[in-house]
Amino acid sequence: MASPLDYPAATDVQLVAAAQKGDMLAFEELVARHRDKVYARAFSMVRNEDEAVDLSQEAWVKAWQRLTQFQGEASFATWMTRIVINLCLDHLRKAKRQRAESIEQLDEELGGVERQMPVVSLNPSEGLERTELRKRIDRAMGQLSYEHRTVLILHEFEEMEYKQIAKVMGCSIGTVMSRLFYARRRLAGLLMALKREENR
Amino acid sequence: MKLEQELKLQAWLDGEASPDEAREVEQLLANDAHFAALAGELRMSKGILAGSEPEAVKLPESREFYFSKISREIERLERQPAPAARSVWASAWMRILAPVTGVAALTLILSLPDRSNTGVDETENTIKESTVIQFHSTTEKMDVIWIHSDVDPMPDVSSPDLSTKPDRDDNN
Amino acid sequence: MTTISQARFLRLVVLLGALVAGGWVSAFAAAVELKLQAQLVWGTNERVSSEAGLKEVDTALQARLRNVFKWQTYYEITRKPVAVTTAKPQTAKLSDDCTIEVKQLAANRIEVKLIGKGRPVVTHTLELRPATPLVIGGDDKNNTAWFVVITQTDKA
Repeated sequence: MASPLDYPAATDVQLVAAAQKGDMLAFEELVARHRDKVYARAFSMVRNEDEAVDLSQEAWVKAWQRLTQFQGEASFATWMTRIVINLCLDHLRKAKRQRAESIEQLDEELGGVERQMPVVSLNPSEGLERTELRKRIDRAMGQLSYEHRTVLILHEFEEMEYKQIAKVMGCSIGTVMSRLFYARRRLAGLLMALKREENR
Repeated sequence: MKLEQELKLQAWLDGEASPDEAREVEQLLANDAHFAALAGELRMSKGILAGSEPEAVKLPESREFYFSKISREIERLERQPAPAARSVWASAWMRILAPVTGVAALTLILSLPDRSNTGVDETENTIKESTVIQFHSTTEKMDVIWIHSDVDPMPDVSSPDLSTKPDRDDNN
Repeated sequence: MTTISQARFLRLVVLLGALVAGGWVSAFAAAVELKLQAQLVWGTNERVSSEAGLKEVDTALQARLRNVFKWQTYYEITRKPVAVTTAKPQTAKLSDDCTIEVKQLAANRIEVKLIGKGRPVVTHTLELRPATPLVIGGDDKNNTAWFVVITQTDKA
């Protein structure tokens, strides 16, 4: 008789295999292990606690439904992160369609302002401790449009290549490249502005 | 400095430039001070972000409470009957049945799923180099589709030649 | 004639009547036309000489476009009526470089395909709503913009 799985001690691979056979306790252990990371990714994209909770839970439900499709080509954590990223992108696209926006605001998001920005030559992170720098980055990221924030998250933090980002965001590689370019420029400008504000 | 060159610079910094693009960027870096300054800014942005992802926020719910909602939703979905597969013959039947039968057939047709009327507006962007933005202006009651070309200006729909009279076919 | 034959005869009449009604209604449904209007509009912040012979769009549309977009003046380049049924899609050439194809998918649902210089640019499917035009636009040279404005003309 097979010994019961020691859930807390089991590896992700063992837990996934058990969950794929319908073991809900194994799935609960996976949720417990990775829930913070999945939630954090959702929050970084949508910047709203309630929405991030809902989206992360929706991601777990989808994961349960699609578990048999997970073949171990990436780590379980990466696979889960992709699911929640896609849900967040769908959510952000729907939210954007429902909001009336002026074309000037959209133009800004697409780089109208960034094209005119002078090059930032001083390092806005100089003299900052890591915690402080992270907080400042967080504040600056919160001020970006969702397209700019998403492309930065996917490239800089999820370490995805242009081609992968294009697939996830449903746009061309050229669009990814220009969004990333404008996002970086905007971020540099925002970080400088925050530095000037805090130095006053 | 053209956007195209700036994007090649970025690709070079990200390790995604082709050998030809890399050579072009290296030449520009050697000869163009502004280009070199921009490279410095982009490198700095990359450096700041590397390993500095903002502190992960913790879930504001307990393990049990969080999972209880997930398992409840899974149970609810598993209790639902599978949706009936939409028949690819439904539209064909609608065309065949409508002129031939009578009131009863009309009732049947009206109750069949209308696949062409999903109630959701959809947009398909057919040009790779462009981005399509869609929104509804609630103040002006207008649906807008804006086509933004990221790399080259959109060459496909031209502004009027002001030296010629427009061709206009009034509805009046 | 016996009672049973009368009943059978009446049933036959009702069935024939239903067949005719069904045929008539379905023929009518297929022929209901959606009347639309497509305008090619040019938006600019530059003064345009009256010698160019351009006509501004009507005041109401001018105001609406100004409130959404950044250009100050909107000129009508072309206006074409477009009448479609589910059986009959329509093509309207708005300029040498700009054509639209409109298909009616359902009672108030259409598909609009914008073609620029012979190449499909964008295809949009939408539910028509009263007094809610569809505006497709993009940047043009010299900081101007082009727009295709599609309105339903048979409903207020």
